[in-house]
Amino acid sequence: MIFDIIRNSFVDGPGIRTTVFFKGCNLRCVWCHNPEGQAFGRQRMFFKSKCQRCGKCTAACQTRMEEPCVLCGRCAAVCPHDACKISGIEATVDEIFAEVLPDKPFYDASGGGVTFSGGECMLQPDLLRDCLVRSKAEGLHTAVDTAGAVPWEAFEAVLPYTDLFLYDIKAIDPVLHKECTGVKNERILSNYARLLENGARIWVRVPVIPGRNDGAEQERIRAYLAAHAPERIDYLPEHRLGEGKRDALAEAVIPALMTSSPKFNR
Amino acid sequence: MSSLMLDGCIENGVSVTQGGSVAIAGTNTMGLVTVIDSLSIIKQFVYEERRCTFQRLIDALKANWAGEHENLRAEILKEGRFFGNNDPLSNGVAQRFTTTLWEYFRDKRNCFGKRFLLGNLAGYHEHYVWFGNSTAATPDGRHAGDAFMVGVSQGLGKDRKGLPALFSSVAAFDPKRIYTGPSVTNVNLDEALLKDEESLEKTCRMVETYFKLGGIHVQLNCVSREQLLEAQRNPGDYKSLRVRVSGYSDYFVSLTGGQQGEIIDRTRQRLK
Repeated sequence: MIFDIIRNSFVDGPGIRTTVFFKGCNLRCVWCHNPEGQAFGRQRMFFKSKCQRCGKCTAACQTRMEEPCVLCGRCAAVCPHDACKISGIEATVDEIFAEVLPDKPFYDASGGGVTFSGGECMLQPDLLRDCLVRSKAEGLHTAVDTAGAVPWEAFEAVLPYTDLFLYDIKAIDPVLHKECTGVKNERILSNYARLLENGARIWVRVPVIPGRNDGAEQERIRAYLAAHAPERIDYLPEHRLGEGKRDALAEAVIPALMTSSPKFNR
Repeated sequence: MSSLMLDGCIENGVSVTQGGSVAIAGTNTMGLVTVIDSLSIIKQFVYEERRCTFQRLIDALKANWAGEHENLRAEILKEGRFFGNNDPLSNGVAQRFTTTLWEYFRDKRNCFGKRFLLGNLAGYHEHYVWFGNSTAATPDGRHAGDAFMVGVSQGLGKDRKGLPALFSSVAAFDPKRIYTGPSVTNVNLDEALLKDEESLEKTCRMVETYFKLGGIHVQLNCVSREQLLEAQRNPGDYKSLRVRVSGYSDYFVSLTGGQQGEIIDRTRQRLK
């Protein structure tokens, strides 16, 4: 399952790329800006600020807006204002590559390609491997963006088809790492070291989150990376682009908003 | 100046406006993208996906999308396979349209006895508003009186697949090259695409690839939406802000409200 495909990304590896976002993650980073990537299943998102109170969702709703929502998706299908959305699509490899392939002239001209990210793409090993194999068959440069909290065997499976790893290092201190992400970092760091030993190309991403992993932790991270140097390190400043999405996922009760409001007339 | 630059004028001793050169007289089309989009929507909604009958679409246009026809318009805007998305449907419609024009004009000659050439830059931005004002509602979701898209551009949220897809569509829309006259494709670049050397390099490769694929012209505007909105609110602070309008640059604060809105609404190619 994926939740997005972004065309013309400049920030997910070398050159111009298309990035495929896999749904589902085993971390819960407090600063996550793709919260819809955390859960594995489909989810409804409701963007209150876009709602024009036209009432079309209520009229289309299979359960007539009585909880629980069965995720039929009719509300999202009829919403003319992009206020209601269902996140998560069971896309096939062909469907994914129908989006990835058309921009190939631009990848070729810029040293770009396709990036698999998420969520945590390594948690859907079959889909990821099929996508990587297909990428190679199409002559595409491949990048895998991962937090690394998976068994080493998962890396072994993708190594032959992956030109570049985009690897997150969020904290070195294990206690701080658990506080900020919900998981320990032992496996993350041992996988990273092993990738380096295997000669994999790696670009490390370090999010710099004030009040969380800044200050002394950044010193620890830099010292670690000086001793285990990747090809490139990007320090990513904090941003708040995920906040609207977090609210949209939490918005469980549309009915109160819809049925009690007058129909919006143009 | 034109006579100096075009073959034949000096040799023949005749200026370009008197027919001294080989080419350069034809006609410019207005509303090209509206036509391509409208034909695409008819093909998609009426014929291929059978979402509505032709009669229903006609009724909606006659009613200017009012009342219950709003639903159909919303569906069209949301799911229409518009030009600029590198979609085989709208690419195919565009190519069929330009090829038909080419076939029509192939044996025709202009007032100088020379072949016709077409352009899609018909006047200035004002004329796209002007002609739109006297045109009824169109199947692409346009209301009666709304301005046309300028040249071979796309906007108003109809292009959803990023700049490479837009560039690929424009580069491929005219395989017979009937549009060899003035052509304009307006694109607004998000400042993030230019924020550092690396991004600038990628933007350059992207534009280069567009030309290699067959693109003829692009007009890049590199102002942030926030700057433009702020300039609308506080024009006194933005007197020196210049933007590309169509074939010329101008001071943003001296443009009409409608022109300002149009420039703000132009395709914004956002990054992740």
